[in-house]
Amino acid sequence: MNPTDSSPAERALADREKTAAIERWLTEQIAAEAELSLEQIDLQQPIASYGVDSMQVVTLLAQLEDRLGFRFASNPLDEHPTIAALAQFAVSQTANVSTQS
Amino acid sequence: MSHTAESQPGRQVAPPVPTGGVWVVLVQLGLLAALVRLYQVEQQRHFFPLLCLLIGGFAVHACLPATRRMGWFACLSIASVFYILGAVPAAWVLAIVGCVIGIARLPVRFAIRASLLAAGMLALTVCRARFPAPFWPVLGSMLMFRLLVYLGETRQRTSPDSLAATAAYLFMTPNVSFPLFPVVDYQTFCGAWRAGNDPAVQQRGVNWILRGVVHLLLYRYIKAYLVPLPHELYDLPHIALFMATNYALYLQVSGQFHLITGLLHLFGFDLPRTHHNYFLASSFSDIWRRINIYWKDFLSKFCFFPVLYLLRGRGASLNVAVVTGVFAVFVATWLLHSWQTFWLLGRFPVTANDAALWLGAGACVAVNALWETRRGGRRSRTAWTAVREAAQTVGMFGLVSLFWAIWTRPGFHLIVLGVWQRPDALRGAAVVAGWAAAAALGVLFWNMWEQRWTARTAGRPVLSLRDHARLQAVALALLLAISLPRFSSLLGPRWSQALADFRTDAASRQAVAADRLQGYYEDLNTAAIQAGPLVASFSPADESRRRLARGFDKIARKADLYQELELIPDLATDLDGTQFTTNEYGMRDRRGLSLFKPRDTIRIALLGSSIVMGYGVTDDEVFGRVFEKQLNASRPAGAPHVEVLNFGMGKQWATHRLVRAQRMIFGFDPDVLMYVAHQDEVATIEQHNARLLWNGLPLPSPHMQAVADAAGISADMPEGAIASQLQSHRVEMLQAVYQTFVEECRSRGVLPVYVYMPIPGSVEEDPGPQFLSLAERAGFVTCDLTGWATGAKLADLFPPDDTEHPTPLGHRLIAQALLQLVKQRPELIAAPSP
Repeated sequence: MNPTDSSPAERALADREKTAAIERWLTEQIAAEAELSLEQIDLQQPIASYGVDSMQVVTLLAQLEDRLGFRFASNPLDEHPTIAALAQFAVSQTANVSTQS
Repeated sequence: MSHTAESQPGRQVAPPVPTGGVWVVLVQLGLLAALVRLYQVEQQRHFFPLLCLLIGGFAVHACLPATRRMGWFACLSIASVFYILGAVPAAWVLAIVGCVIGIARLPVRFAIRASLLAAGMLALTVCRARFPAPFWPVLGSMLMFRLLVYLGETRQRTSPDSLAATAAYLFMTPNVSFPLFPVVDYQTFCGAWRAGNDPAVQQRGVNWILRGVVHLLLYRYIKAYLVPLPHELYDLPHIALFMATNYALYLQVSGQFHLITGLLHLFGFDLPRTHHNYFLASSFSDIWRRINIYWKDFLSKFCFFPVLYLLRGRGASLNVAVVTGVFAVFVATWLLHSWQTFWLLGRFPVTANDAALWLGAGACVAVNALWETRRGGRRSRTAWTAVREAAQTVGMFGLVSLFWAIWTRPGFHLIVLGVWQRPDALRGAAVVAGWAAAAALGVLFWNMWEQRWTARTAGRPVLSLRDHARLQAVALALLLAISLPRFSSLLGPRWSQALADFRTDAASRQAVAADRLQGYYEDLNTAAIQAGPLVASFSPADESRRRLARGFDKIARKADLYQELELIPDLATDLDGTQFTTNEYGMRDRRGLSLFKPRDTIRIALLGSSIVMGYGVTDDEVFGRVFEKQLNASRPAGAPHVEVLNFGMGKQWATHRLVRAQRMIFGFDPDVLMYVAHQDEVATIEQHNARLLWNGLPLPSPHMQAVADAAGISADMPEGAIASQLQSHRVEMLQAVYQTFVEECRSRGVLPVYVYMPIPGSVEEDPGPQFLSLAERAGFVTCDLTGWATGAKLADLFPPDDTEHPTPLGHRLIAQALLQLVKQRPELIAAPSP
């Protein structure tokens, strides 16, 4: 379905679902990298606080880019350091890319 | 960024500490301050007075409302600059950083602010290079990286953040005492701040300060007792030991950084760790993420990610972008180390050795990073991976040690090559392999224990925060008690002396003097923090030494290696309020002296230290002059006139004096050579002679040369190694000097008289009997002036801030004692035979 064909409410719902999916995926990846259980991961905590280093961050963001089909222009964690913020930002970027294409 | 288990949100939930937590923290801080004082931790950086100020500041901070606390921290940071540096240098720092803050907060576009600040930094850089001033290391340390971080992180903000936060960030205490300061990130600094009293954060601060002190004491021990001497690097075990201990000297940096971040925790800044078990790194990337973590974060943010995303945006593959980003980080590391050296020490070293090393390290990390991005971070935990990780850790320690040795000791690779080319090159390889295996086993057990401990304590610490704090306070009190001289004296003289040496860092100073240690961080830590009058007044001995050094700069000039210093001839100056005059020969004596001894005159050449020279008293008050006057007044009419010539010179000891006699004194045709000695007779004798030998100069007498030969000194040994070898032959060397004195005197018909005149107030065992015995055996006529100050109060004998140079009263007493001596023993100034 073309996003521009849907109503704002439908788009908002879709975005929320996408955001939740990305949050889940990020939570799983970070828990695995940091060797923590899923319950120990807080969506509102900075990702860096879980002990993942820059190379793990690079890999994680590259995988996220591949999943979403676009590339970040700069390190998104500078402005969006938490899982929740990053997921939201990623969804907004996806929407922008879709609109542009 | 890396967080430890202590700060990881998922791993530990600290229970709240009830009221009274601040008092427990204060008690621990008081005990820590006592330890810092007792062990003279970071004394050259005036850490103890600063710590006292900050403990007081913390007590006030804990009572303030949350809204005032950031402002209080900023004020305390500025006050600490005034407290340590004194008013004038601190005013410069305040004015310059104040201007920088003003520009950084101007309500104009970012490009304009950045341009203005770049121009300002350029101007400061030129000033740093041209105009020496005591505040540069501190000012440079505040601005050289943090300004860039501040600008970068406030770039996007539409409204400026609080002035208090900006001032707190740039002035950030305890920067004034530690120019080598971690690059604290501004976002982290503000984000980690807890406005309320958080006992867990405060207690973590105490823990880290304690950890810092432990690191610094370990560093001291390794530096003084474990690093092999240069001449010992002849086989594999010693080379391996050197590499390991040389790398372990990095404990100084991690110790300082723990102190710094620990202190910041007290004021609510819940910052992440700066180092995390860096000796246990198991790969190139791992060491990079464990050692100086703030530096890695700084470069990740301002170099690695910008380069990575720039290249990715232009279509580069992830691998290419990662490798280029890593290389950019290491090039930046290399150049920024030089930038740091420039601000702290005033020079900008750019060497091929450093470039090759950093780029080589960059290549290793890049390959490792590439491998990690492909492999991913997840690993299954099996027994085999645990063993492999332990072996990797030991291997990585070896590689980093090698890197460190080559970086910090240029020419180290030549030593290794030299050993490698020997026929028995592999001698000791089994020993080194044994050490490596033992270390691997240790790492294996450590890793296993850590895993179990982490699993056991996850979410429920073994001790409550309050119990932990109390236990730590008790442990600190015990440690303090057993460290006190009163306790250590119960262990017997040998242990007591060893502990006293360790407390005062005496052995480390000897190690440095013996040129055993050098390197990037050793160099950076020599950046002087020149104390202002207030802090200086807490340590009068140090201040006295500083003033003495300034005084000698005024009256003396450099001479050749035999003399090192000489008085400036024909000088008339004011030295700390006293008239100081030298004659045309560079003696503290009257002008117009004739080389030719007048008829009917007995000449006494007085030779000795700065006391003989008369440091601290005016020309007419020097005891030599007073003695001469009183002696002539007391002699019967018709008796020959006595001339006392003053050849005293400060900062010179036995060998210097021998050369002074050979070159100058005998030219005045003296009848008596009166050699005045104090307790410091053997001070620096090995270092001075080592310097002569290392420079290929012959020692001033065959007797001394014989001692050097017997000590096994060879021409190719480095200066530090020669000094170390000679150290165990100091007494023989002194004996040789005395013997030469006597022979030179006798060959010229001069009576050699040795006067032992101890400086009162010393608590150490009096070496006088040993020196007098040596002098007597050499053939001196010996005189013991011990007791010259009997009956006088020390406070009257020496100025309040000087324990070495007597007052005019002290000089009069010495003159009286000498007069008494020659009256009792008239043969000392018998008229010369015709």
